[in-house]
This record gives sequence, structure tokens and C-alpha cells, in this order.
Amino acid sequence: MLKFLSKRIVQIVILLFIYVTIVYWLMEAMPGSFTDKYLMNPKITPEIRQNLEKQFGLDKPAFTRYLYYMKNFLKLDLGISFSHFPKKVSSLIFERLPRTVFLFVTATLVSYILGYNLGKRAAWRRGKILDKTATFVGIVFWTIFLPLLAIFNIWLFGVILKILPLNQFINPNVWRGTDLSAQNVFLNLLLNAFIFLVVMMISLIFAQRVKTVAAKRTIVLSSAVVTLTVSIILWTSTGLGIYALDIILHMVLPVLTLTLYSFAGSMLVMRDTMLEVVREDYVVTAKAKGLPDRVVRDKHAARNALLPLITNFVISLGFTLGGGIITETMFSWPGLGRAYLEALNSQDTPLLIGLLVFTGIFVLLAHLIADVLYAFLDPRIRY
Amino acid sequence: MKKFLVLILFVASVVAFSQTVNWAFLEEPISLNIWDYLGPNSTVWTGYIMGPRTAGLYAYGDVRFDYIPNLASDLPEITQEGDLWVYTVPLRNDITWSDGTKFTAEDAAWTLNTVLQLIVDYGLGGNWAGYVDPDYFVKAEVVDDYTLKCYFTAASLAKANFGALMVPILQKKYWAPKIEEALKTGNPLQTIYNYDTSDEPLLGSFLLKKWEKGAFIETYARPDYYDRDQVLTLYKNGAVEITNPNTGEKWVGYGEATGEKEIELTTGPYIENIIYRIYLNRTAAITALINGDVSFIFNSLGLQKGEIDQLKNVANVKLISNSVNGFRYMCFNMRRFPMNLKEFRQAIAALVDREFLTGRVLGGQAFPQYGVVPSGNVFWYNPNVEKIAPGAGMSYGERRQFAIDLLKKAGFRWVVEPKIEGDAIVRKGRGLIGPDGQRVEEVELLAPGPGYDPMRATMALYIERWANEIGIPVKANLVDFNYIVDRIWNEPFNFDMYMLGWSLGYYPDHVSDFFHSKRAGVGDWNAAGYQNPEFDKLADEFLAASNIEEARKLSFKLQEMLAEDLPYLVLFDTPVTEAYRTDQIEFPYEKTLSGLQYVDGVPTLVKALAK
Repeated sequence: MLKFLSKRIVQIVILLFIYVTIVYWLMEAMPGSFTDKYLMNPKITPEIRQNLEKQFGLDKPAFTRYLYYMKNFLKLDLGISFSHFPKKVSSLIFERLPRTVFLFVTATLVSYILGYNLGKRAAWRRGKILDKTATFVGIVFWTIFLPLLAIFNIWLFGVILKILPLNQFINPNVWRGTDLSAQNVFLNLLLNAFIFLVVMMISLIFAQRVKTVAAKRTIVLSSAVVTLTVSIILWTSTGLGIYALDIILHMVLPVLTLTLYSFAGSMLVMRDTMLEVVREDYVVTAKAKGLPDRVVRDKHAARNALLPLITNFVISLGFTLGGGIITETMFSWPGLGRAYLEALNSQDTPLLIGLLVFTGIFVLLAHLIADVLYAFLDPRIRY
Repeated sequence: MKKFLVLILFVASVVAFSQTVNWAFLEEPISLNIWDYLGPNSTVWTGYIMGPRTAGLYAYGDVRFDYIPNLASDLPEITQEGDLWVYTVPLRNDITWSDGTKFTAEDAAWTLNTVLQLIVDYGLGGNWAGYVDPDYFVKAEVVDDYTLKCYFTAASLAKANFGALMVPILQKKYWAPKIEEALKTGNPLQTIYNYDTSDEPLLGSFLLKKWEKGAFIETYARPDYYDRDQVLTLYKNGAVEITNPNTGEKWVGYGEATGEKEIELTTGPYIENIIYRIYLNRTAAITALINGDVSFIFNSLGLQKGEIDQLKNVANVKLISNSVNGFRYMCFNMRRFPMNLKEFRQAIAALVDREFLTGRVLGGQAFPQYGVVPSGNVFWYNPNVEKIAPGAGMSYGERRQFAIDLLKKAGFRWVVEPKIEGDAIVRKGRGLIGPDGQRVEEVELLAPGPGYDPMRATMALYIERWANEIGIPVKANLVDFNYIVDRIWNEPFNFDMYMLGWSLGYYPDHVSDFFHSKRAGVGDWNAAGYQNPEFDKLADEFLAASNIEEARKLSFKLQEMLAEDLPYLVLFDTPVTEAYRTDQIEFPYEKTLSGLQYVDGVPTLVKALAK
């Protein structure tokens, strides 16, 4: 395993350097440059423009700039943004990261949970009404034009029913009276989610050690309830609850839209794998033993069918850090996806390269984690 | 739980009782550090916030954009001392910074001298250098607390009145130690741009309350704003009167303050807070306006046709339309044949029926422009240029015949000569031959593609068709905006004709920037390569003019000269349409060049209506 890991890490590092180089030269190949925007201002003479180019380092040849970039990259410095000059690219990424992570990880989780549950049920009742309905609805949403779905949801839930906030990630009327920054609340929400995840994992490990199903269920459920209750008490007592609630309320529409749009992917993966698994001998044996349908489906079939879905999920988590241009734009949720668009429009190459490199690193890491998970989840796989 | 309820009550009461207006932004401002804003990071969105925060010695008045004293108490007095021209500026003594400190000549002199030093020694760029031109501005000196002397190498409205004397004034007490500290660092400009200025004392009417990144910016009105209750009266005879009953300040200019009044405006602010809500797409902002979440949308490009149709029938939403201070144009590369021939350019101009294109083809979504000063800039616009335009008032057939005649007059001939009868082209022209017998090869017209600007793309295709009809081998090449920019300024001047656009300032010194022969170098603004000694002489006189009436006359002459010589064929622009909620706010006026967003939504004059 260790040999495999070290080999994979070396591969990832090499791949990363090739990736950064390709990304860098692709950006360089774009026509025009950031300073072209000054060409639209008659008050900025060529001398002033040259001065600005010098400040941005654009007076040096492209290859020299590439060498500088790689040197800084090795020092984990992604450079200085042009459009937010002289802010560091890394500080811009970390400013937007919590918003993107919170929204897209939640949406991915919800989408996969829904996809898993519908997929296993659809396969178990193949050809029945549930299978047909879930597949049809899933495919319809999967093929729909995302901005249209977003506009429809905004119009339905925000304008007509008026039950959800229309846009943005917070309501200014709630936040204007406080010195608190939304960034802090996002970080606290992420911390809370992380703690919840850790507690749930520990409780699952404990649940494995008890024998009865009822006891297992009690441990898992009580852990969830206790953690959630403690979280709510803490949020309320610190006075931050209203702000967290405001963010969560604003998150409902984008999460709903993303879930509707993407659950079919995970559902179909789960359904197809389940259809293979249910034909296996051990599933037939389990049925023959007289085990209840639900136990055969959930414990014997679904668990084995889960493997491709989990690897799929881990890899897509890597991509979630890139955010989503359409979702963030439609819901005025300025995260990393929106930063891509802004950097591209303004030809802010350091920011654009920084964002691509940042996402690339996490996608490569996600692949590594998926490889490792394979070995853990499937005892048949050995590296 | 108790805390939670108290908080909800507090939030509800804040929302219900304060005079707060909500405005929609489509992008987030970048930095509220003025050095950064007027340096490398100038965006219109930052400008909308910075406008009400800053003040200069002189400013443009509302509605007519008269040049009026702001921190100054009167217009500058100009004298000559040796080789230098001295602008003596009397300052108001009733002005305070937001921290309560008195504004004095020390602040103004320090700002001007520091900007000059940073430009000369450290390359401070962007709009700072547009304000303070080191070739003209020499130094500023304090005479006494309320008198300032500014020294220039030449008298110039452009470089003095509309340049250095309009620069935003910064507080010396706050900034001097910071700049000193920055100059000791390895990269002074970056250090200056990076300063957090949230505690900066300001002269403007609105101060920052909260900036929630990515969501909103809230500003609040200064309770001690020195111009509160000031009355600005514009008379129809052109006179301007400013009076302040609180401080006794009074100024009258541009004639006698008598006769019929055009408008009378009393300065507030009448609102306590402005919340600039950031929406990242137009649909969201429009939905917010319809829903009543915001009262006005800032959008420098204006509303599009579909959006106008959507808002037309919404209750309590009013649409307003204004002309803009800019134009879209076609430029001829006068370094190349046949664009170097005046008759050739005039022939192309004669073919282009602006009225037909804007009214019929573009469905009234654009309006024709004729001169290099936009018609909306009423004071500086010379209406004669409309009559000078080749083909003005002619029919379809007459335009073509006129273009053919112009070409013939210059010595052009054809392998197959075009023939016009009435409005019909009986025979299309083919094989255009220049006066020297040289065959005219394909003439490329670079224009932005339909994705970037469908109007310019459409116009380019029409111009191609009309030119081809009489045998001029124009080929419209619809390409990426950056590609055009590269071909013009970076390659450089590797083009025949191109189509782009300009947004302009009120004072039309761009006429000199765009067409003076000294600006025809690589990367500079005279991309057409226009060389006309007579024009240069007049342009120099215009820049050196110290009297507005004299400058206006010179500007008119320059516009006529350009309308005749046609280095640019000015084509059209689009009006800017804006929308606001009449049940939430009331603007003191609606007609203003480039729309209400161009005057930052007039924050000191807008009123919130009781719900």
C-alpha cells in the first residue's frame, strides 16, 4: 500500500507540474491582456500604460514570467491578482472558498444521498412505477438547461410563493446592524458540519460493535440528535443563530436547484450497479434464507453496489471546490466559480491560473483518496 | 431565545423606521482605497461608491454639468509669474472633514504635490495621471489657510481647471504619515494601494458603514455635512447661483442670476443610509426591483430591450431614457491606400445612412451620432457637424451616386462602373482602380462580433454590402474585441478600418488626444494617423485656452474640421435606459447625460418616500 501511495504521489506531483504549465501557456495564448482595458481610457497615455504594465510585471517576456510563476508556485505563492491589484490570489481564493465549499458540498451530499436512495429502490423494483418515474424525472432534470431551472425555481419559490429568499447569500437587512462578518459564520458553519461528520463517523464505528439492529440505530440516531441539539443551543446562545439561519435559508434554493439538476447521475450509477449486484448468487442466497426484502436490499445488495458511487462522490467533491459559474451567477452567490468568470472577463491571468491550479490540486487529491478508499471498501482490491 | 427575539425586533425596527434606500449593483466594487481606485483598479462600480465619498476643489453642477466651485469659494484667478501660470484658488472656510477637522489649503496643496511626486518618482498611473499632468502641473503652494496657489507651465482649461483642480482632495493629517511610511518600503505604490482606509476622514456626504464582501455595502449620510441645505439654482440664461443659508456662502457665475429658473435643487442628504446590494446577474436585479427589494438598478450599459419590455407594465416602476456621453465609430487607417484619400473616406461616409441603420435596422434601439463630441454633451457639441456629414439628407440612390461622384473626383475608376437610376442600382461596380492606376485590393473592416456587440456587427455587414454595391471591396471581419485591440495598438496599426467605441468625459479634450499628430505614435490614441498641421495648431490653442467661451469656439472648429476630413466616421450610440421604483424613491430630476447612475444616483438629492 505504501509503495502504491508513494508511486501515486510522485505521479500526482509530475502531473501537477504538467498541468500548471499547460494552464499557464493556455492563458498566455489568449489574445489581449489585462492592460488592454486602459486602451478605452483616452486619459491614459502609452507612458502611463507602460508604467502599469511594469507594475503588473507584464513588461517582461512570457517565458521569464513563466519561470517566475513556477518559482513562486514552488513557494506556494500563486501571485498577485491584476483585477484586485495588489491583493494576493491566495487571499482572494480563501475569501471565497468557504461560500463555495458550504454550498456545493451540501448540494453534492444531498444529491448523492437522494441518488443513492432512489437508485437502490428503482433497481429493486425494476420496471415498476417507482423505477420509471424516478428515471424519467431524473433524466428530465439532468438534461434541462441549468439557468432555466434556476430562474424557474427563483420565480416559483421567491416571486410567486414568496417562501424563499430570491437571491444573494444573506439578507442585508439582517446583517447591517452587526459587526459580524458572513465569512466568520460560514467558517463556523463549516466547523459545525465537520464536527457533526466526525461524531457521526465515531458513532458508526461504535454501532458496528453492538449486536442488535435496534441498538445500532439508537446509537446513530441519538448521536445525530445530540450533536444537532448542542449545535442549535450553541448557535442560539451566542446570538449567531439568526445569521446562520439566514445563510441556510438563502442556501435552500441553490441546493434544491443543484440537487434536482444532478441527482439523476448518482441515481443511475446506483441503479445500474444494483441491477448487476441483485443477480449475484449471494443475494439469491440471502433471499432464499428468508431474510426480509429490506435487509437483503440494504445490507447485501446496496452495500456492494455502493462502491462506484462512493468513488464517484469523492472525485466530484474535488470538483466542487471549483464552484459553479452558472449557479453562483444565477443565485448571486459569489464563490470560486464566479471568480473564474470575473478573472476570465478581465483577463486577470494570475487569478485565473491560481483558480485552475487550486481546483486541479484538489481534483488530483480526490483521485488519490478514491484509490485509497477502493482498497478500504473492497477487500478484494489490493495494491 | 430571549436574545433571539430581541434581535429580530431590533432588525425589524431598523428596517421599518430608517430612511434607507436599497440600490442594486451588478458587480462588486474592488477597493475603497482612493489611491487604488484612481490607480490600477478603476471600475464604474467602485466609482459609484467613491463619488459620494470624495470632493475636489471644483466640480460639475447637476443637470447641465456647469463647472462650479466645490471646496473652492470662487473660480480661480489666473496670473503669470515669469514662465509659469498661477491659478489662485480661494477656498471655503465652512468645510470640515468627517472627523471634525477643518479643511484648509494645506490639505489641497499636500494632495496635489504628493500626487505629482508619486507620478514622477514612482509611476503612479491610471486616472491620477489624467488629473495631474506632470508636463503642465508644477507645484501647489499654501498662501494662507484658505488660499491656494497652483503653478502650471501653461494656462489650460484641460490641464488646470478640468484637470488638477478637480482632483479629489485627501486629508494631509491622515495620509502624510502613511505615504511617508510607504515611501520607505521596497514597493511604495503597492503599500499605498494595500492600506485599509476604513477609518479615513472624508469630505464627501456619505461614509462607509459596512462592507459585507460579496453581498452588500452600506453607507450612511454625514450628519455634519457642510453642504446640507445648500441651494443650487440654474437659470435659463446660463447663470448658476449657489447659496447656503446655514453658512452664508454664496456664489454666482456665468451671468446674472435673474430671469426664469431652469431648476432649483436643495442639497440634503434626505436619506440616512444607502444599501448597495450586489446581484451577479441582470435577471436577479430586475426581479429584485419588481419585488421591491431595491429601488434603482445601477448598470452602466443600461437596460436591454427585453428587460425594458418586461418592466414597462410593472406597477410603480418607471423607465427613464437618456443619451450617453460616448459614441461608436469607424476609424480609417490613413497611413494606408486608399484610406489616405479624403474622397475615399467621404464616399464611405456618404454610403452610411445612419438614420436608416439606427431607426430601421436597429429598431430605434440606437440613435445616430455625427461628431466626435456626442450630441448629448450639449454645451460642447457643434450641431453643424450633422450638416457637414457627406450624404446628409440624401435618399438611398443619391447617397450612392454622391459616393461614386466623390470617387470619380479623386481619380478612381472601375473595370465595371456602377450605375444608379433613382434608388435602384442598375449595375454593380467591380474592379475599383485608384487614381495612380493601382487596383484597390480588399479593404478589411474589423468589427466586434455579434456576441460582443450585435449592433456594431450588423452595421459592419451593412457597410460591407453598400460599399460592395458600388465596387469598393470592403470585407467586414467580425472578430473578438481583444483581437481588434491587438491589431491596432500592439501590432501596431495593422488594420485598414475598424469599428470600436468610446466613453468620454465632459470636457472634450479627447478631440486633441485622438487626432493630434503628436499622438500618432505606436500605442497612442491617434490610431487613424491623422496629420493636419492646421488641426494641430487649433488643438494646441484649445488645450491652452483659459476661457470657456474661447475653448468652445475652438472646439466647434475642431469638430467641423474632423467632420470634413473624417479620420473617424462617427456612427451611433445607444441611449441608456434605467428603471426605478416611484413608490420608494423620488429623484429631483431624470434628464441627465448618461443617466442617473452617471451622477451616482444623486445621493444628496434623492428622497425616500414613506411606505
